[in-house]
Amino acid sequence: MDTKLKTALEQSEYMRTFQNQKHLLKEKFKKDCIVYYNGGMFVIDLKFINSIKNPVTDIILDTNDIPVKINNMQDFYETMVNKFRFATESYYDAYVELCKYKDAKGLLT
Amino acid sequence: MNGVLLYAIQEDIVNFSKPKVDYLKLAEYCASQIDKHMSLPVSLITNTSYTSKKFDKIINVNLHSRQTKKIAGQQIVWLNFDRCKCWDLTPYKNTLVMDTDFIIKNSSLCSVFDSGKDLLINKSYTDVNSRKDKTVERLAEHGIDMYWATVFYFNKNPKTKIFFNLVEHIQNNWSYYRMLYSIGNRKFRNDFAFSIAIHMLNGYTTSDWPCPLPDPLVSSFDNDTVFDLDIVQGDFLTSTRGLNTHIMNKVALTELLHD
Repeated sequence: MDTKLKTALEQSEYMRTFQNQKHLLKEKFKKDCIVYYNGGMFVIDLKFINSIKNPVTDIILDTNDIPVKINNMQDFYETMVNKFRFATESYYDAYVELCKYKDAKGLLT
Repeated sequence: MNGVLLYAIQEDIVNFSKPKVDYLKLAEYCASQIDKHMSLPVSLITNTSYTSKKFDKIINVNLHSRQTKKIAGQQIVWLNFDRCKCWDLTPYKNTLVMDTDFIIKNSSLCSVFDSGKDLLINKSYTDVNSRKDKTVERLAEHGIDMYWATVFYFNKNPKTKIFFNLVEHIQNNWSYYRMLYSIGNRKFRNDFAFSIAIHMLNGYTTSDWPCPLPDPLVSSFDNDTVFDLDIVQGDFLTSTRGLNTHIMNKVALTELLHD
């Protein structure tokens, strides 16, 4: 096979594998951002964290728009921040690890 | 008390021949992974006279019905009829039920026990190769959403009792419900029965009950090749290292664990 074509196909295989592995990491990150608290389900992102930093009320609407009473707002805030930090840092670490490899075989090791 | 419940229902081994799918072997491996990553007691429901110290409790049930299924080109016996009885059979108040072909590689499912929810089950799945298969997103082309009974969490309360009773009713009247929900496949699947029960309990509509599990259902399919527990090949090779993974090719999984 032509060397240039072979290199291109190898790169193609690498890109496909890389995209797929990244997709799996992203799905894991999305699920890591789900937190259950006081019977409510919260999907954390930066917007949500900012909204609970200085809350107007101790009733928070969860992801399904169910009102949830938060007895200890400080604990709630810290739980959300810690969970988001863990999810983001885990995602980052895994992504950096993924980027180290420059061929499809490496991505799978 | 919290715990995990596994099922290993299989036909008796004749003439010491290895079964194509050895659910007991799969359950043993599953229990060791749960112990390693989640540190939770594991109970086993089986129809065999199996004993092992790997399990907190071994609960015996009778085999009352059978069907077969094709996996990786091989016809195997597929005995999946007792899932609806998990409410009565579980020794735990809060129970995580999972298939034995679900490989635990992290602790993310531990958080279900603090969720305060009565039932958690995934509606979406993540294919190992990002393939899109519309036939596993809905029960029929214009049908209801499909929930995956591969892994689910429940706590014992009157609402979940109603739910599992309804699943049992659907199972007992499968021909009727299969027609009602336009399901082409004649075989009974827990995924289908759970999806129908959820739809019915939601007043025949879609709602936010039940919530999803805090873990993606990373899934490979029957015909995918399993090189080892971290490398699966569908259209192309994929590493599932560190991700809880549903490996549907139980035949390959059995061979791998026997080696």
